[in-house]
Amino acid sequence: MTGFGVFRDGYHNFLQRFEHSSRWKFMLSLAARLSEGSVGLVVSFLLIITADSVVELVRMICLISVVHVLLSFSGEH
Amino acid sequence: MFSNFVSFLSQITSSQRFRSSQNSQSQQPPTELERLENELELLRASHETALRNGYDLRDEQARMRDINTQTIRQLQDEITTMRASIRTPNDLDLDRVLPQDSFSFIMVAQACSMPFNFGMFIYVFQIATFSLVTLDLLSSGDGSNNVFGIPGDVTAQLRASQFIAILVAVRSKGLFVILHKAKRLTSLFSLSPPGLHTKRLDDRFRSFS
Repeated sequence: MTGFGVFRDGYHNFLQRFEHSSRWKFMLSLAARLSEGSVGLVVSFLLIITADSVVELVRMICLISVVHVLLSFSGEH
Repeated sequence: MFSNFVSFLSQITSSQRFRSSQNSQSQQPPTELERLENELELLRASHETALRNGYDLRDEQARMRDINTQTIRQLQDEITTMRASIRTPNDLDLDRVLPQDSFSFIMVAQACSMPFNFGMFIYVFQIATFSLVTLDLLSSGDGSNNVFGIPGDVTAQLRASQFIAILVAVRSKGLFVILHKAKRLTSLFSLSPPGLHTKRLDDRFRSFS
């Protein structure tokens, strides 16, 4: 979702004031953000539906949260 | 008769003498008075020329003053327009900032620098982890049509937990979208005074819609 928000705001809205910002880095970051979010969403869904018990489900949610949220140092994706 | 003729001749002679004396006087060099008069004429002519030049300079000065005034007014209008078009950081919308995550390092950091490499490392690590999880799920399949090994006949508690877990998994999407829109609505109706910043209001309405 953040990737779509960044894509909607565009490059010139906030990146032109940074010295080292460039369009290819913006596109690279956008592609990384979108691919990571979509892959994480699919893997999260697969982990949830393949759980055999509630305890395992909780463990999977913790795993998803660690990989998907905490490693990006962010609260939203 | 003869005496009249003699008197006539004497008159003619005297008149010619008078003329010759006048001619001799005109051919003489000018006196001091005439020289002063000539100098006075020259001074008058130069004074008139100077006055004329002064008038011309005054007209040119007035014309230049008008041009300068017009130019200054145009520049002031341009500066006013440019100031109106410039958006200071205080004018930026609160929601138009960089996302606070490691992917923003890739955008703003110098290529191959420590922050850039850190952002790329996080991305590669995440993709690698997700790939390993996906491979593990694929390997847990029973070889039939159930590729991912999804268990069947699970309990109702697990089914409900899965339903809640899916909502929790996508909470960062749906919940933050709702908060995002709510924040925009709040900033739309509280931060902008009525009648001012109509362009920003239009932009906000356009971006909100």
